[in-house]
Amino acid sequence: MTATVSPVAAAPVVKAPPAPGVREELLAAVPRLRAFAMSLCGRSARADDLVQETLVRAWANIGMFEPGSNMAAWLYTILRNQFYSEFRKHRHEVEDEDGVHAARLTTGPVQEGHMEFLEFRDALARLADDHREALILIGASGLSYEEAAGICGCAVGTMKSRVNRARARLAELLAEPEQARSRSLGTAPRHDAS
Amino acid sequence: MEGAGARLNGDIQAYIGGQLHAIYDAVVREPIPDRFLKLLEDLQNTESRP
Repeated sequence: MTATVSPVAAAPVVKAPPAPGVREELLAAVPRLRAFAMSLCGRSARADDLVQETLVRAWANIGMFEPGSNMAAWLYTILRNQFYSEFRKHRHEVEDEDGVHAARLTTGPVQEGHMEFLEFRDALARLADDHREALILIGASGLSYEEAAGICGCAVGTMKSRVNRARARLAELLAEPEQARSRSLGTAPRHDAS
Repeated sequence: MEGAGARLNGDIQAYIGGQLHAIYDAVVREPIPDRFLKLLEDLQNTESRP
């Protein structure tokens, strides 16, 4: 009895080596991955650690990437899962930084209209996490609603509603008079070491 | 009045879009840190080893 092995069965099941060009594709995605990581956990070494872990995982699981689909969206999914599974465990350690994560996603005072820019960062930092994330994915990274919903594991309608609510809330916050804004910032919940 | 409100809302939404891009693109435009070049090189080298 001769066993004929079909080409499919003969294909390596465990792990296919990354095809040529994968390294370049991953490298090209690094700037966008860093921007997304910093929108999740602020401008920190931790954000770059998150990117590093994402690249290692992507490399090991490259066989799961569907050729022709959006590589960046696939990488964002890995990065986001990594963030919520591992990095959230350590969140209490950075309690004092809560709410200023998005605020630190910036290169500093080189921008024009810097005051406006600071106001915007503050307002962005005050959004609910899932609203801010939705707004970044759709409004800044240029993903489709379908891709963003896939990344966040929610329905497309939910993603649309989060983006709409985030935009409405931001508009409200930006319209607040300066005094009201600093007052409400001053009363933001803080960990009080008494 | 409703027309003015809608226009104002359009303005603020355009402003929000512009600011979001400014924040995000500022990071995207930064050069890739060396650690990632090295990491991918290491991963490739590990792979090509028998």
